Amino acid sequence: MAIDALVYVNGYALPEPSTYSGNTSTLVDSARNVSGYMIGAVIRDDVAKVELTWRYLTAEQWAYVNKLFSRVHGGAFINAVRFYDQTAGGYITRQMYVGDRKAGMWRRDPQTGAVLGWTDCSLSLVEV
Amino acid sequence: MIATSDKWRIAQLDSLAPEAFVEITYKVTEPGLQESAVESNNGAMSFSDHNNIVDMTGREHQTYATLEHNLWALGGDHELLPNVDDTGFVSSVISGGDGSFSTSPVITITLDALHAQAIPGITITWSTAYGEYASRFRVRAFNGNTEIASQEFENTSVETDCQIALSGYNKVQIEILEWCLPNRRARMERLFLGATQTYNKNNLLSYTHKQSADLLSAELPKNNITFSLNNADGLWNPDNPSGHIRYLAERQEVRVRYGFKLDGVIEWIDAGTFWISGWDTPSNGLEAKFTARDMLEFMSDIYTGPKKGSLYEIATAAFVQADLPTLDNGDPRWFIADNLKEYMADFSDNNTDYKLAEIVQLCANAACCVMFQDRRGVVRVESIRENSAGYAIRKMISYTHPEFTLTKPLKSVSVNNGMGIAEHSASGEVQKLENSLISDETRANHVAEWVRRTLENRKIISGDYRADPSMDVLDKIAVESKYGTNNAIYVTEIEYKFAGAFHGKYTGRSTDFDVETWYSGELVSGGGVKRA
Repeated sequence: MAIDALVYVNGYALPEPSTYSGNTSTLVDSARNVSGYMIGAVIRDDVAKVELTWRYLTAEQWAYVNKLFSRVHGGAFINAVRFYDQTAGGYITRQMYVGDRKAGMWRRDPQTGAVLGWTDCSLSLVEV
Repeated sequence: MIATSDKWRIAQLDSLAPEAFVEITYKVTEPGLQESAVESNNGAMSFSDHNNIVDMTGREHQTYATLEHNLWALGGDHELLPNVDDTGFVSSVISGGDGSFSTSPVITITLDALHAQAIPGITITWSTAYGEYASRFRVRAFNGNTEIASQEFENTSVETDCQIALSGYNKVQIEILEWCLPNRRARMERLFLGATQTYNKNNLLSYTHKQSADLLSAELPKNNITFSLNNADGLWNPDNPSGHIRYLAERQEVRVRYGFKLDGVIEWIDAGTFWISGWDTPSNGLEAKFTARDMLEFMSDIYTGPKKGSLYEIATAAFVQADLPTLDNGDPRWFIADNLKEYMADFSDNNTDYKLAEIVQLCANAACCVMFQDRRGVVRVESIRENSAGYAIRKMISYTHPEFTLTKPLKSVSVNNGMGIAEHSASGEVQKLENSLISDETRANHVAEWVRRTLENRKIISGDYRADPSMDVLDKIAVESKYGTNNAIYVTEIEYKFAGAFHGKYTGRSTDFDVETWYSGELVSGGGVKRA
């Protein structure tokens, strides 16, 4: 039985990543008091970021992922992302923007010149 | 200090203060519009209180027993008429089995004149007491007998924000087509001609709140906010035909509150009520800036009231002439301490044109009182509060050590060219005070002594700190210095800046009360200390 995707972007499932790391930030306005100790005030709690990598994706799969974030292909920089949140301990949906999408070309078909796939593909999604 | 919970105060002493919030609620309407409205209808019950549904007051409504379905008295859940203060509008017709009416109740709001200024819609509160609402209704606006706008709404809420742009109208009708329940009368508790918009930290790009008040009422108090909103979508551009700028007008009411998230729940305190005084929305700008001021914005006319009488009567006449908007419960937006009734003034031979705010300020000064606007938006003239809850700006929350400046030594105080004199020392500066509302020698001497006692404290103390926005001007607080000593001050200026968290600047004049007795050093919470 196929398992549910780990990450959905605007309802579209991403391929199962090879690695998935979660990051939770607390945004703090901080400074030193007159005694030299840090004092701060929470600006925002639990800002989520997830980083995904794929050891290998076909050229079609990586293009599919990239188009989800490309405005000229009907995608968006900021999307509703359903993901597994390490703090919530479950799946949540947040508005997230995408970081740089990066990959290394695997190889081309020696006969046709077609790109056959990508290795070490990566992107990150950060809560707005 | 504004009253807060122990949790709030304790949180202020943590190295990491909890998440803070600012919420600005802006009533988009035409000033004076509600006051000019007269309600009529095509059939209401004898106990219907529909004459005051169009006003700014936020009354509590109760359920009461009637013979409507499930509203009988025997259950004991409802009050019996006439023991209910305010029922709002109650229709004479009852909804049928499908919620519709044989004759639709129509509520007509007639205005005193044609209103050209645009409003973005109307806000209807149906029945918060019963949790009921019109599920379908129509709003129509007229210029005389000519219909200029009409829109039908479907609704599932007891409070409905009806977005229908209105301008050039002198009559508004609400026709209730269907009620949410069968066999019930249609009810309406309140109708606000305009819309309410709320901005919070998600919309705010910057926010500053400045307050100042003079211990001697020698200057007018100031209480104003400036804030900027995201205008990347051009919503506030002056040339955007569908933008919000067309609804913006001076003297529209803005309410602000501050909050901290404590154990997952936001605790709110009032930050103040202000009135829009200016805005800056450049066409190519990414932000729209707004300024809102205190009630004194309404008190710049020349005083024309009596020039002889008690200070209380004169100050009251100034407030009445200003025709200030009332509080939600209908109470006036001013408070004058009773001791002003004891002091008489006569300045009938003085032809100076005083502004209304200046008259109140002179009354406060002559009665040895302070003048300020509190967080509810009430201008108060009263003796300085002696009962401030103990509060200390400790080194722990200070970004800078307090700065000390000393005013010039005081020799004496002279009121009205020697009518009253208070000697202080052999050398120094003679402080002169002119107030035409101080009419006799006894009062002049009393005021001179009051000024002397205030000015003999020469230390002015200021600093920056991680702000607890519950602190107010004229609060009596302690400031912990570099050497661990505690300086007692009356706060005369505060500035709160909010950029996700509160930063504050304060200035105050030292007072002569025994701070070490007052400040026992025993912490009860946060920056607060327990009185000895």
